Amino acid sequence: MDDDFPEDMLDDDEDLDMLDDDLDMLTGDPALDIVQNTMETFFSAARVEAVYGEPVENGDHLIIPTAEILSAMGFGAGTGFGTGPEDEDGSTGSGGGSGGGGGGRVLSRPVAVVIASPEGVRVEPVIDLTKIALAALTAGGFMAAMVMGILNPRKALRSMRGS
Amino acid sequence: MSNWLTIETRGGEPIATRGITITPFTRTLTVRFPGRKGGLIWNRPQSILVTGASGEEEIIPIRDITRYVQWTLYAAAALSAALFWLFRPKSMRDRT
Repeated sequence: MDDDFPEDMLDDDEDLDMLDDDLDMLTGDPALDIVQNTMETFFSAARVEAVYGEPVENGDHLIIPTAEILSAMGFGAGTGFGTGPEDEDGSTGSGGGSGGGGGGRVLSRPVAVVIASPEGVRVEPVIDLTKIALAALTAGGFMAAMVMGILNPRKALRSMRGS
Repeated sequence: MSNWLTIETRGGEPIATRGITITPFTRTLTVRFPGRKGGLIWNRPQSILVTGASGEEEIIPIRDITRYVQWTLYAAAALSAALFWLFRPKSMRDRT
């Protein structure tokens, strides 16, 4: 297992037991490696090092980028076994199988930059104008719809119904 | 705190440069889905602790300006709409 895997995320016995139970179902299954790798990627998002990037030296300045990380994932696994109907000779066939699947997403966004210079340490924010413009459009649209609905509720209702 | 939801502040490895030490801190929200079949982690920078050569300490918060502006816009829109609805003229009240 990767050295970076944050053991403190799974430090209680209950968590480890339940995770082991989930993974035991897939023992011998190629899906096991995929699940383990995915779990490691997921839990690595909780590390402090995931938020603060590697410091970069630039002349007299030391720059540390910071980012917000949002990571989500889910997975499931199952097994099943059964026996077939009894043959004429009295024997029964049996079979089983197991399977699993999952998915996830990691999103990150720069938040600020820490700059250490001979004058001192300061934090410069990273402003995402696209996100702000989209928020302004959303808020403006909401306000316009509300005002239209209050001024002329029948017309607003008709436009909502598309007639 | 319940087991499925944890909010914690974590400190990172101190970074030493030119006589000062910078210690980063993060705020982590962890949600575990029922049955431990996955979860959600929201990790964001919270502040840095700057320790000078003579031992003086200063905490500098890291503010997410983009998020502040986003939520301010949403709140302003909701508040404006609520105020407009509350103080609308009587003629409009009769119609609604």
